[in-house]
Amino acid sequence: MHDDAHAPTHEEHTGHGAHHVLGRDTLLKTFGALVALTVLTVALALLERAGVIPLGGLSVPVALGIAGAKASLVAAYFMGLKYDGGTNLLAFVGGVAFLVIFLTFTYLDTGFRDTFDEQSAVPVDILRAEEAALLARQDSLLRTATPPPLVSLPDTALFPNAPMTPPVVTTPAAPAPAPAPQE
Amino acid sequence: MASHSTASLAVAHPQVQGVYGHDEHGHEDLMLIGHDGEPHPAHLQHHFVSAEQQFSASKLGMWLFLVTEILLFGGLFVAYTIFRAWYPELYAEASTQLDTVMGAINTLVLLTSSLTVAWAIRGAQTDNQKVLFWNLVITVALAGTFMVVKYFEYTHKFDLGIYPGEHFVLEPGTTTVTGEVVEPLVPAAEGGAGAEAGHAEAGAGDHGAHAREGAIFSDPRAGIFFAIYYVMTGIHGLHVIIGMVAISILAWNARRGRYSSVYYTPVENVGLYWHVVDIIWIFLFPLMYLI
Repeated sequence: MHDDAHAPTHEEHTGHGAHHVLGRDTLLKTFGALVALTVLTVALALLERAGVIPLGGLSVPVALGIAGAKASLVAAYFMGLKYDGGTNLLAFVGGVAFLVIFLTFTYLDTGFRDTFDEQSAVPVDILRAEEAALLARQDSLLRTATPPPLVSLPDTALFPNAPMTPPVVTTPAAPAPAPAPQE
Repeated sequence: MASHSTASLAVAHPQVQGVYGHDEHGHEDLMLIGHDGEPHPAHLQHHFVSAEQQFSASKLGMWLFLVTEILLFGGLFVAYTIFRAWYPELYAEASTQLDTVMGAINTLVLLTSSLTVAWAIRGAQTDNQKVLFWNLVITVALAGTFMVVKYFEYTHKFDLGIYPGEHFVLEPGTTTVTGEVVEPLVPAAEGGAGAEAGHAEAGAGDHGAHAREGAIFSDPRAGIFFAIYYVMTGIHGLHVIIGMVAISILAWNARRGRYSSVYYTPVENVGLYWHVVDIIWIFLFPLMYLI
């Protein structure tokens, strides 16, 4: 009896339908449409996987389109946006709009990094593989090669009086005790 | 207290109205005297002109919160999109590791729970306390069903060694990017012997030997998809649990007759939240399981 009517206690004051009562038929029809769309999208995916309906590049847009239709049904009827309108709808549409801006501009950055002669983002696993290869090369080199002395002997032509023994590397001595303060 | 039958009285005598809305329906135990000296219904805060205005303001506040929820998941959807654009084959391959039937069942469960919560609001608006209470109870039960299915999905994947990110366990014998060779799975019965094999043997279990099909198990980046999968479905599951708590509180209050066609703002707002949880899943399901 209250199908698709406004709650009787509020209508007289408001003049608008913020308290729209969803009728049985509306609820069940919305639910039926949601279930039908779910069955449709699952069937399409399974048939495509089995190779019966090759949707190809259309499979993602079709699945997202069905999901969008389902979300619209939930928002319009279950959430009552169709009857609210106004500010609630503005908030919802505004949120979705900012999500679209977020997605679009992020994709404009990340989606075209290989397009131009600029440095591309290198996946971290490739960086790790390169690092591992470099470490392995360093390891093998350290095992086979003798490192050259850090300090070579002086040139006798330039320094005839220099001692012909390699300099002794001394470990730094313990710090001297602080000098006594002068009088 | 007999005070909770005010709503049905208000319905029965819609012509009995006060200046401020529904304050003149003859139940003085629910009335409070405002600073203007006039009686107000107990649920009407006196900075609002009418219960109607209070309801609309509260609902708009809920919508603004829901927009932040949409943007929270929006960030995750953007991450999903970017990585999908970078590794399309990886996503196509990895999504076959998800159980489409379980995902479809969960979709139907959540859609049904959206119906029951909408029906609960209808019950409140038509002052049908039984319809209100039982639809809320069914909604909580359906949400619980969703989480149980989710639990089985998660544990099955853990058994297979399908972990997020770099903890993803590759096919035995695969050479990883760091040059290690993944050791074979050790059956759970002799798990002690392979304890030093590190996380490679974490997939040991009854299911360890099968269902690890496809090229993704030799792709060192397969963990990317499952990191996104676990984070998105995990945060969504957290929202389901929060919703279960909120709707349980609603059912408790509904049982005590707190809501009626005059005042059902909490039912309306939690209902909106629950529909958003449903909408998020409506998008998660095809993105993760189908395409």
